[in-house]
Amino acid sequence: MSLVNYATREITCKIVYYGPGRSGKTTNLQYIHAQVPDSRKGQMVSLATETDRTLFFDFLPLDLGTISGFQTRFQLYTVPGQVYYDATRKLVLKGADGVVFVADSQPGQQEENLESFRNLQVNLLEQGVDPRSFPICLQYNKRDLPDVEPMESMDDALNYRELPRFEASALAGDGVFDTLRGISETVLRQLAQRYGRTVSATG
Amino acid sequence: MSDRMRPAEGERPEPSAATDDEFASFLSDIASTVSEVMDEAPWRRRLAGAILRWEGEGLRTRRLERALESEAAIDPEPVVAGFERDAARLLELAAELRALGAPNAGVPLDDPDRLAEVERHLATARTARPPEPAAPASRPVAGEPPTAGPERGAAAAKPGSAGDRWFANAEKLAWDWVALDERVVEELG
Repeated sequence: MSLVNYATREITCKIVYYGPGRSGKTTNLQYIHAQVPDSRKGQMVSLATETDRTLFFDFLPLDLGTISGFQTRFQLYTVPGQVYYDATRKLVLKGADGVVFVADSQPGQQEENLESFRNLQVNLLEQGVDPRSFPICLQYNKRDLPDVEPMESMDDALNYRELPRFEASALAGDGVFDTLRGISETVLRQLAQRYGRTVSATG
Repeated sequence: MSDRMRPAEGERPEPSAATDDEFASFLSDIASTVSEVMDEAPWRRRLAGAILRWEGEGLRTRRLERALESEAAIDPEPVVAGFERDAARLLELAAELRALGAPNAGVPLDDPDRLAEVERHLATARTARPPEPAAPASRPVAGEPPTAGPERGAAAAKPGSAGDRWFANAEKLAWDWVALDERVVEELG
């Protein structure tokens, strides 16, 4: 996917929320959808089973308006977390500009987190994308629960590359926009680096 | 600052707390980043401006688009200057072809990257032009300046001229209509 089209003066950024089943990917998008004014968002498309688990994917288009003369659009997707929907995950991952990996902070979920994270890297490699240089942010979700893995434990398991990572409670919305901001800026900074320049973080 | 919502080290020092205007805050930050990225690529702006201008003239701009896709920063001025030189020449040739009333025969008259084809087509059109009974000396002469072509063609294209076999030719009429259309588009742009 072309991130910046100078001829049509458009920026389109595809961000995929990846992670194990029930880690909170869809909840992230639902919260974002609820916060964005109607004029800035399209319809959120969700294909779910009767038990509310994502069967195919969720899609939320955001129109950020014209920035620096460029019509700027974000397309947010989730993948189904269940192991057996790998073909769907590959499909949704195709052409992504960045990934938010949503990990479940509950004890006993580390193996699922790890398996899904490995699956992400395998699928990126299959598409000819080097996971070491691809924009990825980690979100440690469900931090509001009383019994969660310590941050150090989460980092030891998942963040050996020192990726940007955010604590979140997507159900309440805590950390959701911080994560989206994090991945967006990572993607845009990578864009600048690709052109041989550096861009500092905003804010 | 909520310790629970702390981002990773090296990232933003103060994450915004959940507020009613989270999206506005997000939008503001992203706008700053996008502006920063875009402002660091003035050469892309130069190329994009040239593309918009020449597309408005009805010309294809593939050469400029290819330059725009370059991953490394380039000096846009030689690229734009070369394109503009070819575009101006193409417009001259197209005008001469119209004056000659020659069919375009599939030769693109809107693509500066195919200027050589148009040059060949024009040379063919000049030589294929039938001799004019009243003025046989006006046949194409080797070494003649190219500006003589349109003048000669325009003179021959005068309505009622005995030597103009393209007069009232449907193909020529269609061609003239296209040219008119282009002028209208240009004015609107």
